[in-house]
Formats: sequence, structure tokens, C-alpha cells
Amino acid sequence: MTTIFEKIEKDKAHTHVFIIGVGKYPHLLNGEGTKLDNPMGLRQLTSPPISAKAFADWILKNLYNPDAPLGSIELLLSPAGEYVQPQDGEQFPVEGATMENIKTAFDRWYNRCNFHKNNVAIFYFCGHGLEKIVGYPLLLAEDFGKNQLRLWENAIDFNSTYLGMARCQAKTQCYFIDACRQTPSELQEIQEIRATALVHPSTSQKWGEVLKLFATHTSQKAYGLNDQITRFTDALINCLNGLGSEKQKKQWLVTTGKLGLNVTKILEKSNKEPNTPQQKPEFNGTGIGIIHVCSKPPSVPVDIALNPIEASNFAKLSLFQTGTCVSEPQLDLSSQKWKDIVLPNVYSCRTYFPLSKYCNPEDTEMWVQPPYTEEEIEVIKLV
Amino acid sequence: MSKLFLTLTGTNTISHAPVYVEILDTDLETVAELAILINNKQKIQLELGKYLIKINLPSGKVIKKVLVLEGQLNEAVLPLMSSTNQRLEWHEFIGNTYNWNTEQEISQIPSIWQRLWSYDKKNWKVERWPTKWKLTQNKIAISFSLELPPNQLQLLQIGGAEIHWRFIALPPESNCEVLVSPSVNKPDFNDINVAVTSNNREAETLLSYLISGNIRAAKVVGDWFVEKLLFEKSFNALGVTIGGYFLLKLGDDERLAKWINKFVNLIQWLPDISIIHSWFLLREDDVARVKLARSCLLEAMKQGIPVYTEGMRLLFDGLLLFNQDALARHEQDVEIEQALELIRNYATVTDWSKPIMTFYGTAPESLSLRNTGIPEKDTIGLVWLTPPTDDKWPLVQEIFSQTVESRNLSGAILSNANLIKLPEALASARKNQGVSNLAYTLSTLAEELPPDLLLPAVSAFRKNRVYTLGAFTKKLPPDSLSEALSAARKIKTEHYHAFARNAFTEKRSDSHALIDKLSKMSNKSYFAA
Repeated sequence: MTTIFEKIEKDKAHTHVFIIGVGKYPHLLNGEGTKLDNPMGLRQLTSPPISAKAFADWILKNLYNPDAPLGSIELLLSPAGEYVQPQDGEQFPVEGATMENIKTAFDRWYNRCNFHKNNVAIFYFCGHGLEKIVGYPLLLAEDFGKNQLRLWENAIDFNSTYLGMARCQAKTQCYFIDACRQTPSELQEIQEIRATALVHPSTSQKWGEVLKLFATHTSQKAYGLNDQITRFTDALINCLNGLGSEKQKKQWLVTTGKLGLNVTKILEKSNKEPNTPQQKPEFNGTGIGIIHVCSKPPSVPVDIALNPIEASNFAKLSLFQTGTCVSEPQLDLSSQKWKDIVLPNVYSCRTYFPLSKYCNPEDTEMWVQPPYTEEEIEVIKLV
Repeated sequence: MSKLFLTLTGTNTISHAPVYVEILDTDLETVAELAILINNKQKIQLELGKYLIKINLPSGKVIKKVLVLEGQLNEAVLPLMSSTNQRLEWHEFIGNTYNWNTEQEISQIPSIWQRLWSYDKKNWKVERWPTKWKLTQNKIAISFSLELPPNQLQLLQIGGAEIHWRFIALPPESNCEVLVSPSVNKPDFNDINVAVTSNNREAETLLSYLISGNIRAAKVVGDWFVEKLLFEKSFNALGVTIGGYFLLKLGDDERLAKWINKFVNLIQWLPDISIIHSWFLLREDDVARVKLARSCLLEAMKQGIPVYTEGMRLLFDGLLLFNQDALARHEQDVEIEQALELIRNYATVTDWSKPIMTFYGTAPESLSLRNTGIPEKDTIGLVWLTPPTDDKWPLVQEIFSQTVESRNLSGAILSNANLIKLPEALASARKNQGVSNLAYTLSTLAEELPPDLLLPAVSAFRKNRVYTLGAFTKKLPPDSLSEALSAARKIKTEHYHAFARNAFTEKRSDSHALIDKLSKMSNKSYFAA
């Protein structure tokens, strides 16, 4: 059983989610099964099942779309195990992400998605990914390499699957692919790879609002620390939580157009942190399809730098709203930036220098918006 | 209500480019979205109050300014950007990456060359470089303009001693700007980044918004752009192409239909147009439309290579769709299979991260990911971006340059500077020894001289250094060398190099016959003949 949630009202649009997290690969390096002759350097992973569970947790706890409320979640994890519902602690046995299980769960997901034209379809994959032709990802199921004679039958041909999804009625479709996109040299020698399309494409290609969001650019790696959620999924969840939203008619909406843009901005910002590998997502999003309506305004990170930077050691900062101090940013010693997390709004930032070594005669106005706000304040050194 | 007259100012380089501007009120809600042309005053009506003006440049840079509207009339002038190098400002504006920070300068990567290819009558051929070329003195990045003939697919090929040979499709415009810089991704490695853009500010700005994924910006700028495109009488192929991709991305069937009706028959040489047409047709499940969509894809194959990477992706995906559709019906579509096979080869050597079609190979139809070095064939149009390490090349460069300068000396035929016609020019050129020498030598070097004119060419120009150079620009196959020497000794020594080159280096099927002919004949009788 992989359906961890199902609540569908007849004739109504819903959001249907399919989540795959593959960390266990028995036929790759350090795997438990018969090893593939050439595993292309691919080994066991720990982040994908954790990331997939975190994504499922977020969907169950938070996803709110009045036009398409949550209808179902299909979850496959490798290693297989139990999924504990975050709200009530109910336990669900979850099947492994073998190709057979993926196909079966996909069919259920597809049929539900196809039931109503205003449905929202969400597909999430975290695990090993490869590209034989750059830009055409292959997503590896748990049993990839089980049969050396038909090596690619247990890999998902994502591009064909995506093109096939044009057959599905669901007007809004999102694809989140948290996987590497490198081309090992071994792949270059293979003439043609016949991976599995989960739905065969047809020549009818009428699309609604679509977001394809890849954790990384073509030919690049996607990163995650051992036993932790991946960088991409972390940014994705933060953006779904509101950092990927924009305010429309007093509501904070996460849309197909904004989500990819803001996940990219967040990862690009974290790329600047020391000892962080470069990872730039790639996305292809059209339109304004609503994925999630935030129940409250998002909490937005704020970074404030003083110029000259030496002034930071002598300063004290406060954020004001209509004359009232609402927050006091704290100095991060490593970056020498003042950091805070506040609600989106227009603030006045007041900079004090108790020792009077510098001064800033005017408050600085800050319009804080998701996904983050960065401000530089010039101060004057007093002689 | 209050009127705001907003002007975004910039230098001439970016003047009149449309920029996406968002205006937010203090509730952080967007109250206006518009495309403003740089250096044009734009009137906006707003309620009195405080606003955040967010200017989203196509490069991704965002400029913010808070304005307070207090009276009936308000005016704001906001400067956009200032570049230290005006030549690079346009690239900077639309977000073409280049690397100022790396320790490697372009001048540190030796022997980078380039040449132009054009597609004519279903064949690719090397073109003469269209302008007089001088090695640039710029150390950090090389930027230059290119003038291109209308209505023809053109590729820029760039390679080097250690640089993989790549092709970059040139925009369907009469002018384009090229920027070659050390690779941003691999600054410690001898690799380069090539950015090509046209001077069509409106279309290129829209393209940049589309590529950056800022679909809101693309929609605002694109709506304005497409309205002009569909209703104005004049048009250019670049604008039509970018407009088509924009409409397809938005799924705007109504305006796509108008686009198809207006442009498809007017621009029949550009594969991108056929590809957009095909995908428009695929948006409805109608047998006749699907059949026509298939024809459009096959037509695009005949037209050459799409200029934009998006076109290549749609072509590949389209062929995949038709192939799978046939397989699902247990049928075989041979034409589609053959096309797919060809495009699959391109797909494996395409740099999908670039907006404009970029792929690797020795020739447009001879694909290879890892070819480096200096071309040995088709060197007619080759020019150097950085100085060659091999000392034979500067001389070739010099000779070509001299000939371009002396194009008027030999009369009408030479004046069009078409090297292929040089043999025809010889008759008139012989009257002027200097010109004939130059013409012969150049022809020899350019590999355009027919074999039977090679000997007189060599004789006419007795400066050994030059014709030796011409001969040795090709490598003799080792197994042919002794034979060449033997044959060459029987004729005048000074003919050896040119003869050997022509006979052997071209791997001509009639090499042996040519040796015999040349060995037997005396120079005197030959010239008499």
C-alpha cells in the first residue's frame, strides 16, 4: 500500500501528489544485491527518503488550495518502511520504489489526476538521475541494474513521461526533480537508451499551467548532506511555505510562475555561503497556476550589511513599523551581516552607534518581500 | 488620481529596449505592471501615496526605488546601469555572462580561431570572413560585430589548439554582436564562453526574460511586442521567431493562429518557423493538423538547424512524439525515424544550457564533442581571435589581409573578393605581375585553385617561403611522402611543395594520375600548353 492519503469528493477538482524517494539501490556500489558490471560510480544515498518524507509531511500538514484541495498522496520509498503521519501519528507501510511499484502507483495517480480538468498534479522524485542526452533526464528506480540485459527498463524516461502527461486532463501540473543530471562517460558510448515512459506520449500536446523544476542544471550535480534533507527539497519546502509566494488580493499565493523563480533565488543565495557547492536549479514554468494558498504571511529572511563593514561591530539595528520597534536584527559574526526573519512589510531600519564612532542620520526604508530581502546601509564614520 | 511620468535612462547601447517594471503599494500588492522603453517618458496613473518601483532588468538584476506621489503631476527619472565598457553594456543588460573576476584572460588562451558557415541549397559551406579582421588587443574578453546576409542560416565556428570546436547559430538578423570570454564555469581551464546576440533590442530583451524564467516579465514585454509584430507591416525574421516562441510558451492559440497566417509563408528558410508552426498544430488532436505538423517538422529538417535551442528541443521532442505514435500503432515511420536519428546525433553534442543553438563538431554535419586543434581544410575564411602559437599562421593571415586590401588591383573579377573566382581572374591578372603573384598564392593557400593551375601559380610566385607555406598548411600522409618526393624531383624543385600538397594532402582519388602527369611533363611544355 503506497496511498498514504486519499480523500476525493466526486466531481470536484483536487490536488494529487506522487512522491518517490530512492536511496537504496541494491545493484549499485555498496548495494545488497547482485552488482551491476559497471555501476558508473553510483552508490547508495541517504538523503532521498528523508527528503521525500519531508515533502510528504509538508503536503499533508500544509497544502491548501481551495480550488483544488488535497485529494491523494502516493508515496514510494527505498528502503521501504513505514510512514508516520505528522498530524495524528498514524502509520502506513510504504512500498519500495521499484519500477513495478512506480508504474502501479503512477497509474493510480494518473487516473486520479485525469478525472477533472481543474485538478493539480504534483510529481516529486528524489534519487539518482543521469542524462544520456543532455536535457533528457533518466530517473533511476530502486531496482535499476537488476537485469543487465535490459539495464534501462528500471529507469524512468522523464522527458517522454512528461510529454505523455499532455494526455492528462489536469490543468495545472508540477514536476519537482531532485536528482543529478550528469552524463557519465560510460553513457556516451551507448547508442540509444530505452528507458521506461510511465505514460506514452501522444501527438496531442495541449498544455495548461506547467512547472518543471529541476534541482540542478543539465550536466550538474544536485547536493544533499548525508542523513539530511537535500538542499533543493529544503528550498522547495521553504518556498511552498511562503517564500515562493506573492501577494494577490490580500492572499499570499504560491504559483507555477513564481515557485521556480524563488527556489532558484534561494539556492543561488546559499551558493554564496562558504564551502557550499554550486547548485543552480533549472525551471520551466508558465502561467499563474495556483499550487498553494498560504494560511498566513510568510516569514522572510532579511540580511542587512553596513558600509563600511567595520561599522557592524559598533552598531545596533532596529526595525520599526509606524513608529514602533518590531524587531532587532542580530549580527552574524561570520558574514558580518545583520540578520532577521520578519513578516513581509515596509520597515524603517534605524542604525544606532552607542559609541558614536559612526552615524546614520536617516532611517532606511526596507520593503521586505519573499523570498528574501538584502539591504546595504551606508553609514558615516565620525572623526 | 495622480499622474507619474517615469523615465528610465540608459546609454545609446540600451536605448529603447523594453524593461519590465512592477509598481507595488505599501500593502506589497502589485498595482501596475508595464513595459517601459528606455529613455522614453511613460505616463502612469496611480492613486496618491507611496510606491515601490521595481525595475526588473532582463539580466535578472532588480533596481528598486521608492516614490511618493503627492500632487497631480509627478516626474521621476531613474538611471538604469552604468557599464565601464560600452561595448559590453548590451551583453551585460540582457544577461550574457562573462567573467571579469577570473585570473585567466582570453589573451592567455592561444590559437583561438573562428570562421563562418552558411547553409545554401541544403549544403553547409565555409564563407569568407565578411569584414577585414584584425587581431584584437583586448585581453579580457573579445567583442565584435558581424554583418550577415539576409535570409540565410549562418553558423559561427570557434575552436582552438585546446578549445573544443563548436558551432553557434547566428541570429536571423543583419547585425549581431559576439562576445568571447574565458569560461565562467571553468575559470582555471582553457575553455571559452561565446555569447551571440543581435541588436534587435525588443526581441532580445523578450528572449532574455523568457530564458531567465521571469514569465511575468516576459508576458508584459511580450504582449506589447507581439501586438506590434502582428499589426505592423514591416517585420524582421528575428522578431517573428522570438515572438513565435513566446506565444507558444504562453499557449496563446488565438494570437499564434494570427502569427502563423501572417509569417509562415513569408519566412520559408528558417527551421524555427516550421517548428513553431508544427507545435501550434499539435495543440489540437485533429488528424489533418497532426499530419501537417509532421510535414512541418520534416520541412524544418530540410531547412537546416534551428537557430534557437528551444527550437532544437521542440524538433527533437516532436520527432520523438511521431516516432512513438507510429510504434504505438505497430507501424514504422521511416522518414521520422531517419530524421530522429540525425537529430539525436545533434542532441548529444548540443550545449542545452545556451539559448542560441550551440553544438560541437568539425563541420555542421560532422559532429564530435572533443575535437581540438587548427583546421586543415576550409581555411579560406579562418580568422584568429588570439594569436596562433604556430608561426606559419601569421603569414597566411598577412597574405589574406593584403589581398583583401588589394582587391581593386586586378580588375573586375577580383574586386568582388571572391576567391573561388580567382582562376578566372588570372588571365587579366597576368598583365600585372604583382597581382597575379598575389592571386596565385592566395588561391593556392585558399585551396580553391584547380590542380592544373597549381604549377603556373607556383611559377608565377617564386617566393619559396610563401608557396611552401601554402603547401605545408596540409600534412602529407606518411605513406605518400616518399612517392611525392620521388615524383617531385623529376620536375622543378620549386614545384615540389605545391604539387605534393595538391596531390597528396587532399587525398585525391586521382593522385597517382596526377603524379604521373606532372612527372612526365616538362615545365616548358606545360606552360606552352
